[in-house]
Amino acid sequence: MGFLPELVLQLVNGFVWGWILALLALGLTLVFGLLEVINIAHGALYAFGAIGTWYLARKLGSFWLSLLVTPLVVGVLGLGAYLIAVRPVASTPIATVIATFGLLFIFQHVALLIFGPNPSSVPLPIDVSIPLMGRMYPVYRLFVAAVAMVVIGGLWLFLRKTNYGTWVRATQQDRETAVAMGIPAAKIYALTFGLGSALAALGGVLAAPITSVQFNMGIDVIIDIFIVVIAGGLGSFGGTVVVSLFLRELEGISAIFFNPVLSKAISLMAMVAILLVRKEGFAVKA
Amino acid sequence: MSQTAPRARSITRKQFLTGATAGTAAVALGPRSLWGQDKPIKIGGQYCLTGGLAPFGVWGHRATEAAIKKINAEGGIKGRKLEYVVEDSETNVQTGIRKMRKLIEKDEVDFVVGSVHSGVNIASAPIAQETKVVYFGFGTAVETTEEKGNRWIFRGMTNMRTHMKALVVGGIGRLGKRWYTTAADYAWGHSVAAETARFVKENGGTVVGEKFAPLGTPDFIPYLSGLNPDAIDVIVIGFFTRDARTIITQIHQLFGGKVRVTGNVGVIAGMTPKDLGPAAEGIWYVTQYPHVAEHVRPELRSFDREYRKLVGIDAQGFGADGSVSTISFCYAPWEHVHYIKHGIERSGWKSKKDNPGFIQALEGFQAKASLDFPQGDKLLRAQDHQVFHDQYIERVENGKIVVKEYVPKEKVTYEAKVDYTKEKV
Amino acid sequence: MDRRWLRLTLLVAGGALLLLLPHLVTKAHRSLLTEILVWALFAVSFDVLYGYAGLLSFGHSAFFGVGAYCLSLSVIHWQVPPPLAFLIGAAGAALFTCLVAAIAVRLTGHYFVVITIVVSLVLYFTAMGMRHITGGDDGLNFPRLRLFGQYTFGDATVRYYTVLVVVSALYMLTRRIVNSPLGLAWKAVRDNEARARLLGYNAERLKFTAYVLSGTLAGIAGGLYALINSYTTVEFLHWSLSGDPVMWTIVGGAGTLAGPVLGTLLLVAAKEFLSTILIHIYPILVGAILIVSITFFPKGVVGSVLAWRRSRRRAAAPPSPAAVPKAWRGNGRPRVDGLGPPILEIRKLVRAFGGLVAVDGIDFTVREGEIRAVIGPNGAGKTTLFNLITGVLPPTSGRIVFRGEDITGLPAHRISQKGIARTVQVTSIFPALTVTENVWLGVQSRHRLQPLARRSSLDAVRGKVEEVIALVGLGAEAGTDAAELSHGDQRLLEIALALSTEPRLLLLDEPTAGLSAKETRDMVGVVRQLAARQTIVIVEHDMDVVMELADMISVLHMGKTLAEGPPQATRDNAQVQEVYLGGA
Repeated sequence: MGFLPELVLQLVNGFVWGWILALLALGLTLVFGLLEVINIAHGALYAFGAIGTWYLARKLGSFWLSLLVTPLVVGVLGLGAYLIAVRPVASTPIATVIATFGLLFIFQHVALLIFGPNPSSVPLPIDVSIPLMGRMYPVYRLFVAAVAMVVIGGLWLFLRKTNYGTWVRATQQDRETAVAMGIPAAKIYALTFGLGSALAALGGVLAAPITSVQFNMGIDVIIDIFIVVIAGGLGSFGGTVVVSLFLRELEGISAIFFNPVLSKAISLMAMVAILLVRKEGFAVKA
Repeated sequence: MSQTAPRARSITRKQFLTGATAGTAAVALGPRSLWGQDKPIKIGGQYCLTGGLAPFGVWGHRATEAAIKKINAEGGIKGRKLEYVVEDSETNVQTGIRKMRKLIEKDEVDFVVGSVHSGVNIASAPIAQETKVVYFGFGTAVETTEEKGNRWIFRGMTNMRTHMKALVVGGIGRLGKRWYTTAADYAWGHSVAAETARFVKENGGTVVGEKFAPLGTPDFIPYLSGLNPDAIDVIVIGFFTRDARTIITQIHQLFGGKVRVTGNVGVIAGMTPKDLGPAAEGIWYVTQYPHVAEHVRPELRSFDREYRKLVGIDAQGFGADGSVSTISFCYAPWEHVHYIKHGIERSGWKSKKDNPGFIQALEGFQAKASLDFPQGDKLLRAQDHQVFHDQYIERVENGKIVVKEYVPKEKVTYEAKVDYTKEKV
Repeated sequence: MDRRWLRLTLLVAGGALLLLLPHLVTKAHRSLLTEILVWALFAVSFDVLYGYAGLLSFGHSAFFGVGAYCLSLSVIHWQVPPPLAFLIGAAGAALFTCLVAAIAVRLTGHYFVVITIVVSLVLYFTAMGMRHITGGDDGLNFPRLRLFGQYTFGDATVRYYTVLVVVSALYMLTRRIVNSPLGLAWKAVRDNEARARLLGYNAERLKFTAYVLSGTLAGIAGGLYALINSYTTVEFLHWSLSGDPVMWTIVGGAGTLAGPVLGTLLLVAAKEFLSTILIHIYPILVGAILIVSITFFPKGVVGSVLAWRRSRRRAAAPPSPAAVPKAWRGNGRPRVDGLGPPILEIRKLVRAFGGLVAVDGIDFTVREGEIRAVIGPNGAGKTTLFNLITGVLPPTSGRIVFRGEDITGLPAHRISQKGIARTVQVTSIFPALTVTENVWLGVQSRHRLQPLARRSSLDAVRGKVEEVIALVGLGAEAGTDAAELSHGDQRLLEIALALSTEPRLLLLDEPTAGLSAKETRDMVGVVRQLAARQTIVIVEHDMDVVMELADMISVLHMGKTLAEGPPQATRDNAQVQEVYLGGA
């Protein structure tokens, strides 16, 4: 039963990273579903989340503070960036892609100037490991999955039950009517962009202690985020979560049997297949 | 890393100013009469000042600059002053190529001391050959001084093969015979694995397995979870900077010290044991130059002291701005400048036309330990223009770096696979 | 005449400058320029796809890398001489592009962008994994190749002239293509894909050709780069390389060919000269420039200059005399001879959208030469019926037979080619193109698209275009951009577009909607002209128009045919009055 422990470890790990990815992808898909903007700079906001965490950990010694504060700050930053760079060109979807591409340049370089080129790390806020099938598995990771699940669940409730959530869904279906009915569409767009940015930053905060913080760490995740968002169905809540988990689990399990290049290529090709077979991806209506 | 980030801004500003000054260093610094009527000798620096390899590039540039200042203070080379122009290759091959051409065609440098990026080295090799300019690189890919090099390339740094041979030879007795390699899934990482495997087998050990992870992997646990710590004595890590830090931390989280961790200096280059935390405890690695001055071999200490002072590295391996230096690498650029000096002196070189003689003078050159070559005695082999020198094995114990062994150069040589001396220059 | 000579002189002067350049500038500038030319080709390749066909691709690095590797590997392993290696590079890139295009053109918009990145990534990882062949990120170098005689690529002059010749030739070839009928068709797909399909264009195939040209050019750029540096690496395949041509093209001017070249020149040269000073804020500057460009100067430098020149020229030009609408020769049997055989037969046609049944079992026959009006309250299914007939929507069940041929379920462009044309209820034209170009699109759709033809030399097409424009009375506006026409004129252009394909059956969807009284009268005049020689099915709310023109009226209500008959009888029908006309 040689590889059973490894399999279990991979499944657990894939679960954890799947939820982090879901958090990031939801941030992007929320923005796309409503504004039809694909934010290429989304990965940089994730990096800012991690960098902010590192900074607060150094200055104030607290990770927990960062959990609350950093997403808020980055959310405001995202909102500002939207107002300055994206909204002016919102009428042409392709132009918004280019505008966010410009934002990526700026964000990444600002991160470099603030943080420097070297990597750094954030100490684990919960430095305990539990035995799992003969290996020691860090508890913090399970905590991360729990937090992500709670936040995502909360987000779903938020979209379903609150005024804002209803407004978002209404505006998504028919902007003109929504505006005619007095729904402040422009404010909703801006807030949603900020919310999406905050979600990305939260992903960065959670990921910071279990990976290395570097100014360009957004590059690691942005492609996976895109793939998940597309295959999950642009704008689809449930689809995004399902595909995030599926992708990370698939990668983890392929890593047991194949070398990393191959398993990366496999998961990418699986996504392409999903995309082609179901052009709308897994459009699970939220 | 408490030292690096707040100071990162000052690194960049400093290197700005240095770069800008060096870039416009066409104007002689002293009165002409001191220098006689000969034209200055121009040296071009092709360094990765920004991007992922910046820690190595920045210190390489500083070491070069300091070496040139030192030589000028001594009266230059044969009475001729040295000038220095530096360009940033941005850890990017296309930029490296462009800057190489610019240095040669626009700035008309006589020699190029080049990057730590192996891709840049390999791309620059044909240009050196075509423009007949001698190029010194300090990347570590083995092929740079084998099938991808040519007679115009020299390397004053030992390569992957030497590093891993030193590591295995130094470790197989003390740590165990069952080795496992996990490395970055790109050319350099595969070299680490291949060279490790070769020498482990040659020295009676077994390679239990190999696993590669893509660069920038945020989480190595999937690649580590298959390991059985009872079946392995040593894990070799083929990563550096960020990935090294991540994987070392995660190995610690998973296996908590049951397995011995080792690698080349990439495991710690640019970082301190404090940065790695408890995960660093017990890691040992091969390096070319110790961080801590006390660990330098006694007969080299006086040279080392002076060398550090001139480049701006303190006795613990930190720069004046508090940043961690990549002292394990930057001796090579310093010594590159001095190979140029010795090559010119020995061959009577006056201009680029005399390069053939210069090249021949350096082929087989045996450098003596001195302020010119503070790392120690060297052999610059004629057939492949590859340098051979002693290596150090260091270890992190109780949060500090400790030297465990010196591996003499005789133990880490290998047969030359090419013979550049057959190439017409 | 003057402009022709001016352009010729500029061309000759520019050409001479480029040819003599090596002797006029320093060696370093020459190397930089050689490199800029290669990158400019790369940017042009991107622009062919983005500026002309409207597809944003971040995956062009894949083609660049494939071209570089095909050339390098053939040189290293088979010792192939440079010209052949070059062709292998181009062929390899073309082949690879075909594979990718086959997948990618099925997708649109954001899906397309992401797929292009994914493909480039898959290739990158695969190539990294095969480092024994590709050299991984260390790359492969090879000895300098010999061109002929004692000229090798180690010689900077040889490099410069080779690159100059290749890039110039490809630039001129590409220029010919984008100005040809094929190029115009690409612009149609870019600006209004749905309308292009209705005009008979196979949008997928057009996108495919654009993609293949684009990818091949990118691959040639890659091959050239490898050739002049004797080096290639898998880093060339990484999608981050694709970001540069996007930037250069946007700033220089997308949708033009000079734009990407200028953008490359400006940005690369600027980076070189500013590098020591601004190196640490350069990326921030670039990001800001990109955002400013796309917001305030979406046309880029060249595009803005061209637009400004055109508005100047138009302001200065004297208005052409209003053309008199000519008699429409039409394409059908003249009504004088009575109605012909059935031209359109619809049997039990159903179209359901989930629970909503928009068309609920309609039977409908139109005879050749007939004018049939279709009326009914909103939501009756009139426009859905049109969409079904023209192939925009597939029916849920039922059959559509046109001139004896079953066309049920055929895609829109095929149905258009068979001879059915329509106008659209909400004006759907090509706003960025002139009236002439709009109509040209329709007319040329009936001919083979020759990629190398000069539009100016296609007399048959031109004659027809002028005829159609004259018919609808837009002669005075022939050179105006469609976006700048009045609403009424745009509706006329709608009709012109429909007519330009010489249809046998014309469907008019509320042609008088939103028109003023005068405009309505003009429109009716045009339709009356058409009615003399064309089979028409017209949806209309204006009962006066209907009564005047129609032979037969079909009244639709809730997806079914409520009544069908000659005008008078229909008007007197009590049910029709109740449902639609108001009281008696």
